[in-house]
Amino acid sequence: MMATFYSQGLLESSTAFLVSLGIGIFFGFALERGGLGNARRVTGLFYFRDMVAIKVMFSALIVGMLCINYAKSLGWLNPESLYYLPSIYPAQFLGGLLFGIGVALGGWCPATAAVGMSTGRLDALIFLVGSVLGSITFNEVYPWVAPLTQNSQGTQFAFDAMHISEATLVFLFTLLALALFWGSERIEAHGQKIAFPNVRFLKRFSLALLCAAAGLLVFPQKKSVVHAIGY
Amino acid sequence: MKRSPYMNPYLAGTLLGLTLVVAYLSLGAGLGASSCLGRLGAACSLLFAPAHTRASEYFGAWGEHPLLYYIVFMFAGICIGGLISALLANRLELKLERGASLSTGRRAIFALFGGFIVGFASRLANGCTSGQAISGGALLLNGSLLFMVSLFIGGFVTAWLVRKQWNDGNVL
Repeated sequence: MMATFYSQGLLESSTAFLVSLGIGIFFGFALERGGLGNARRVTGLFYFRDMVAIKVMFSALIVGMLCINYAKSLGWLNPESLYYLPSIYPAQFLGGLLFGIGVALGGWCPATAAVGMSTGRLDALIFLVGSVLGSITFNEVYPWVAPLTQNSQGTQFAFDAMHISEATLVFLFTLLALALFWGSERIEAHGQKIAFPNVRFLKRFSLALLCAAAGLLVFPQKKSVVHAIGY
Repeated sequence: MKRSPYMNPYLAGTLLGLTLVVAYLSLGAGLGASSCLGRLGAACSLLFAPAHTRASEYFGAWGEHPLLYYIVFMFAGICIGGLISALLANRLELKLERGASLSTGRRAIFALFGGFIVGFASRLANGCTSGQAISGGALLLNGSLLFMVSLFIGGFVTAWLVRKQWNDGNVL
């Protein structure tokens, strides 16, 4: 079992900074490779035209979720060594709503804009300048918006709220992602038949994710640890 | 030199997912980007109004050196990684991406205003697409899933209102 920088209180150490830089390089590389260094492609999903953002986002989420659950089930990862973002419903609901508005208007989100900026997109640079100004404005008006951010519910898991095991929800979430993938391909094909190489790949990819998700159901389910971090 | 085609998006997503796993196993925290923009805001604020910034409740809590934070380094990595990928694929190009129906000036205003809202919103929600939606979503956290759902609602509604932005008769 590995200790994380977070669990050792070393997230602010120079080694953690170096590791973060390395992780960022892979992060940016994957975004650019996938085609998200371009505002038109980032927001294409909102117009049901180019679904690349859905494909990259949900395959990352599902692959990450499956691997983390295997690591936990096999005892390689102690769930208590992770940082869990607290659930603060008013802030996350309003923040998400505004965030979506900003992405649709500006054409970027922060990470894709970082890639856009470093690959020469001036609109990404302008977007990031706007984001820094928006952050400064948040600090200035913080006394007024603070009530929205203070009613933290701590760490709240969706599978606990639904009274099912984590592995069951992982399986259901995988099914949802597969529906999004096949729906995205269908949308891009304008309701016509999905092109052959795409179908063959997506069948294999779907089968691999489904088997991995089903495999998790085999492990005995432990009661989830509800953390008090964030209170 | 010809540009390379983009990678299969599912494989690019898989690479991103594996990067997320490495982040959780080593750092103990997920991916992130927007905190860096907040920290840059705090650094600018400290530069121009040090006393005011130190006294402010939100930025003040970040201390004298807001840029010494792991997400700031991750953000620098994102820029470097994107640059490496674009260089290898010969996709480096200085331009302002816009739909044909939108003038350069108006596209710049859209980008600035959209960025402003995103900067504000990610401080309010304490994260963005990477920190909340992907990293928090992978752990199946209630608040992060709520953020993801409301992001899509806000995005789809707004996109419909500004649908002429990217409309140049290509598809749409």
